[in-house]
Amino acid sequence: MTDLQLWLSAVEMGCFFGMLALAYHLIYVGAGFFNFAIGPYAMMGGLCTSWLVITYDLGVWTAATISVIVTLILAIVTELGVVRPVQKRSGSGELPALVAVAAVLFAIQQLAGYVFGYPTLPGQSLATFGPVTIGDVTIQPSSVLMIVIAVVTFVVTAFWIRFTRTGRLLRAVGDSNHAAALLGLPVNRIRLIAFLVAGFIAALAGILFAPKAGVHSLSGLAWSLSGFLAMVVGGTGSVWAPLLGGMLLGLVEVFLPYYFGGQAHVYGMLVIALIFFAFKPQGLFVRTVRA
Amino acid sequence: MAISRGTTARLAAGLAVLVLAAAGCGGKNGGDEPTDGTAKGEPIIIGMDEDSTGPGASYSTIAGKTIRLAVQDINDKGGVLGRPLRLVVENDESDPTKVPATLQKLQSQGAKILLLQSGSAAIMQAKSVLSQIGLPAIAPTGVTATLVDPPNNELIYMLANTTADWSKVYCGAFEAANVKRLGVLTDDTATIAALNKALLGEMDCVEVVATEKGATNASDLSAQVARLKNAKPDAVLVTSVGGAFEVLAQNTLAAQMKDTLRFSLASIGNQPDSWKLANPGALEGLVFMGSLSTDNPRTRELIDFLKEKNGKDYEVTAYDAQAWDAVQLVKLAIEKAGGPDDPKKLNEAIQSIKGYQPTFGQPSFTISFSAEKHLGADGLCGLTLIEFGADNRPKGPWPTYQPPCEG
Repeated sequence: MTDLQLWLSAVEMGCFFGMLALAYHLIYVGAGFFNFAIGPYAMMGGLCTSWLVITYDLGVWTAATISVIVTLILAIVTELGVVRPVQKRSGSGELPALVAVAAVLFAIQQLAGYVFGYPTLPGQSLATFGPVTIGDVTIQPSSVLMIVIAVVTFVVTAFWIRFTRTGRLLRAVGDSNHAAALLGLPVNRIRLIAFLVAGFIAALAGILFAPKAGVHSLSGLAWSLSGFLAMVVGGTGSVWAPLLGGMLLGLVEVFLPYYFGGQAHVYGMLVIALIFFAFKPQGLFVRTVRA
Repeated sequence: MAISRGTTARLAAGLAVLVLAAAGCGGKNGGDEPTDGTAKGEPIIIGMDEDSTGPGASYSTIAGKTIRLAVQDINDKGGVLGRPLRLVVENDESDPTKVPATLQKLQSQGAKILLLQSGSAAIMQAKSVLSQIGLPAIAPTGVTATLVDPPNNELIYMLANTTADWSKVYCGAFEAANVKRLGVLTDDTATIAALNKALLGEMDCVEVVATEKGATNASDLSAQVARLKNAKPDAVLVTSVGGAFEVLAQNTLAAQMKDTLRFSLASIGNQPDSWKLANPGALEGLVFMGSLSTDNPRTRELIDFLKEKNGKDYEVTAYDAQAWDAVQLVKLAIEKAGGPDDPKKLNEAIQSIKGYQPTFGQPSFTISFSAEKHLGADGLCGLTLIEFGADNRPKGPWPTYQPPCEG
């Protein structure tokens, strides 16, 4: 495990999974709901950016901005057009909303395929500097951006949750929708903010990760599953928990194939999912409440 | 502003309808279908199984587009025996389980002859189906020799040199470059698994010191490349259907094994859209199995034609050339048979084609068929080793070795 190139890959993958998990975490904390459309949000961020640059020759920052706006619109539509109405009609039942958002996942993928086509598009790097070689390790600019921006995202999110009024309201609403509503807290507004912030983080993650191996319309499903598993592993006890979960999955993704062969990470992910769902579904970090 | 429950529900329903309509409208075929041009009379139906969305899409869509252009060109010049060719297209997504239904659907739409533009594993499944439905078929970009070997090979044909010839060319290249230890990085598709078995099984000229596999949709191959590096090969051969996997493989190899000679199959060299996916300079020095030579006047004519149709920046590939020639061979066979309606006569007409000069390969390269010879290539001249330059584009023939025209 001394190969630094592998550690770099693991950290990069971990940061990507961590950002997806953070997006899941925010919606779970703010709306008490697992939004499986996080993967397609990330896909839309990366794919729309690439398509705009390639098809219309837009600058990468302009294309990225448009893509983030498109993703935010999708997040708003998910909450206002799907989750909220379904939850209202189904009362306390969570299953109908989960099924509805799973349908949103597939709908976004199909829409992306129709609009952008099905072939893989090259990701567009936001960086303008070239790769850096340190000893035997080659560091791509996209890797630097992924890691740095992921850390900044977690720091900013942790600050926002802990020290801002909206962040504290997010936690309050997530603890109990009903109690928050009785207290007169703006539940619907907080839920929408959770969806928007999560959509932004997911889109950003997709834009940053796309240069690594390209992006296509069907990328969203795998990313949804990876992000969800990272959130489950990390737990919901801390805003940093998704990053820990993501890093663990990143290590599995890179080091298991290194030691056990090409597809070992698939089995490793399966084993981790089984262990955590069976024995520690609350994850590694659990929020404790003083009685 | 509060949104009423009824309005929200209507919004959601309307959006759902839009999305479903959009999903239903898109993604089935690779492009616009040809018109009848100046040809009149009852159309001659050609069925094409084109993988436009599966793992073979990266090369099948290139060939599919040129097949459509070739059909349109024939129709614009009066068709075949005065009748227009009409293309009906289905998609098996290179999935062998979907092939029987796909081919039967093409037959039900009136197809008289089939073009199989899909992954090799799917085409293998097609062989037995062809025997049942009795239609001859050409696999324009097929390269696996077993596709045209018995059993069930009576109705299937391929154009280009197969992996059996590739192994001779690679061995010549390895000997010229003093490569004795080979590492292989491969994807997990059924097509490449079959190809590896055929190709690597014939290459006893080198010792394969490591074979590493990655998923076609992998996001990271650094572990696999690190394991290859540990085996200390003299060269690495990447075997994949191309697309994002191949580019990720080359990016990773360029970063972690930059001084190691790299070879590839025909895939990435014939997928210009993939070149843009690669990191700057990552493809430099990569040697791939190509088959286009601008010494061939027919290649130059095809390049001019396709650049006129697709834009001057269009990169012509072997897939284009083989697709073009497949349609010309269909036209020739129908003319020799006097019509398309007797599958047995059509099949015999294909087998009677001798010395056809294709738009790929060296100038003297020809294609011939017979009852015993369902692989068209006459000799190794259909192949050439091409090297990528620092701009991630093919720069020309690899100076170290080229396959000889005889043999």
